[in-house]
Amino acid sequence: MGLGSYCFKKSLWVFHFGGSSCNNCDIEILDCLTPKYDVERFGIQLVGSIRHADVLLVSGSINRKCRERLLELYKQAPKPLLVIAFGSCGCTGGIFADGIPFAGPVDKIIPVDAYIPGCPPKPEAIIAGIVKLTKK
Amino acid sequence: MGGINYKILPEILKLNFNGDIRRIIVQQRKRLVIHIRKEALPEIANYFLDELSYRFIIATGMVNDNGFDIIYHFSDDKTGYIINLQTSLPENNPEIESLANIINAANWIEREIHELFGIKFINHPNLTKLISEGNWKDNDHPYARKKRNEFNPDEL
Amino acid sequence: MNTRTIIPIGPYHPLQEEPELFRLYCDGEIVRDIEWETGYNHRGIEKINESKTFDQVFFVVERVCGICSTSHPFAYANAMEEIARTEIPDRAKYIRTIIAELERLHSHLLWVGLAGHFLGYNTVFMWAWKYRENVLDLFEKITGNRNNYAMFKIGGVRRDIPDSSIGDIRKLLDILKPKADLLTGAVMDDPVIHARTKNIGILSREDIMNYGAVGPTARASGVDMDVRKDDPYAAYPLVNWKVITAEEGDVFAKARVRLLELYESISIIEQCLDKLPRTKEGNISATVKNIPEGMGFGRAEAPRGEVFHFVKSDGSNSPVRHKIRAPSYVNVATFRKSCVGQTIADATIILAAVDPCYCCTERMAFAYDYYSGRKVFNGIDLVKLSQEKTNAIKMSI
Repeated sequence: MGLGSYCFKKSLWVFHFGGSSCNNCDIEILDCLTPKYDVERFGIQLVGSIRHADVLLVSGSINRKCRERLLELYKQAPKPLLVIAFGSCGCTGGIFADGIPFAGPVDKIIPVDAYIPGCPPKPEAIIAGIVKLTKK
Repeated sequence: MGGINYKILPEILKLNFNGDIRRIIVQQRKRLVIHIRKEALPEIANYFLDELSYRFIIATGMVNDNGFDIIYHFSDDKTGYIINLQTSLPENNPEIESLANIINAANWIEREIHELFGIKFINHPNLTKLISEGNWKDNDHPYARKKRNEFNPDEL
Repeated sequence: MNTRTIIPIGPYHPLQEEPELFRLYCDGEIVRDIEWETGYNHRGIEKINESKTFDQVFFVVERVCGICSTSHPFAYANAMEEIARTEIPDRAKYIRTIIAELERLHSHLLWVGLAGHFLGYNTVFMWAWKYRENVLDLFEKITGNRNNYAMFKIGGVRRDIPDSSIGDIRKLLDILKPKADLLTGAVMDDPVIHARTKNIGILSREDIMNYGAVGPTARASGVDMDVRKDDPYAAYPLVNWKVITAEEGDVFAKARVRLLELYESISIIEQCLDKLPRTKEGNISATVKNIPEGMGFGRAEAPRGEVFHFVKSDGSNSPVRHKIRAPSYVNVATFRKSCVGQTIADATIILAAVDPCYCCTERMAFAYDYYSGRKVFNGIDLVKLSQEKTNAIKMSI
């Protein structure tokens, strides 16, 4: 699969929401920006405000406190918005699903368009997931 | 200042705090557990921190058959010993003097134990919520359940 | 008339991976007070562990924190081996040490990158994380995963590092050494970084003792404290290395301690690799039949400081109580001391200097106005302020 030959329909601006996570997913997302994987060459960049975002990337198992924040963010986001549930915790809650404050997983709170499983998902998986999403 | 000689520490403690020390257990090499009367906690903790220059690691709250146990963990960095002070609190009135005025390192953990177990730390400068706001109901203490796995998330 | 301004830090800034809520109360440019609100990362792990078997707990604790993914299982294994009174084979000791030191390498490189970004040196960020990829590739080769290695078990390790892999590890170290020189030179010799980080966010010895701070945060203030030397475990007493300390206690000292620790880690790994072939290949764990009743107090030196695990067992298959204390729990509290009185432009770098691992600690960061309670800037603005200050200094030099 030659990633260089793919043309994304538009350059995606991604807002990352880290729910209560162990951080590995968040670091793998940042890894995608670094020279080895370098998604910025496709125009993908992380933005600081949800109002500029095309994609909401949610990682972490959401606890009750984060749930309110997540709902608020979703309401503030301009539609159309693609939501990605990231990592095992984002998809199903992972091992933290038994925890006391667990309030997720993400698709119980907001509608999700894509799931990228893994603990954490490798950058190759992230790029593959985003490619699949843009072809939807 | 060199490390204290642990062969004679039990004698020194009994000398200084006679009556406050219930038992000293050598759990394994370099690990002591000292059971004390809860009223003696500030004095003995002060002795550890000032005289013996121990470092406060953390405190652990636990449920026991009659109420709660708290274990305060101290580290003697010169020798690698971990010295633990254990005290029991009755279920109907679980309160103990706060250490946060003696050592700042105890501040947050006492707030957390208060939220999780309902133990009251007297004279704590700021016994407010640390982690529970929005995560569980006020006045609920999720770790204070007697049986394991008794917690039902739907209750919240 | 004093205009009070509020600077929020976080919570969902792209480079602040975890949600963290600090309220910085500011008077003009100076930080007057700090408040925390936490709870965003609380997952109830200690309770989860009470319904897992002792072996399953390893997989839970390595996800307490992604960056210290080895240190938590290490401390937990030390605690359990105290209860079980088990001695682990030498080969397992060396393997554990190698994994732990490789983790220290990747964590410090990560920190250097983030600190570089906060200061406005995005090239440092890109370089540090690029060389970090080499470490992660090596992890994938020997453990099967870039993060969350699942190498530890009670009595030893789960997977062997075959003698045939030793060459690859040495190759990586050979690549990393000149890069460590490059990064160290870039940070230590740059006058702008000196201007931005020297005498900023100072913590004295008394502060360290009072807050119980650990790790490079404590060592940068002259406190000679390192679990690997004070309470030795695994292969640390079997190899030669030294504890790195600095005296000034400011952000620069903390950076210096971490960078010099890179070299010590490389040296420890090389010595372990020399000794590994002398142990019997495949003898990587001791058999542990059951865990008796008892208490275990295990600790390990994570990249951020001492990780402490307390486990109480009653002879059954699961822990009765498992207390986890991560180093950031005590280190982040020092922010109150090191940040008050400093300017807001320095707030991000002072916090970053503690290398906070929020998932270990779980905090959130916001900054509010001291008087009116209004939010003025957000976390990204704070980072921008920090970067602008660097630019201003660059112009003036």
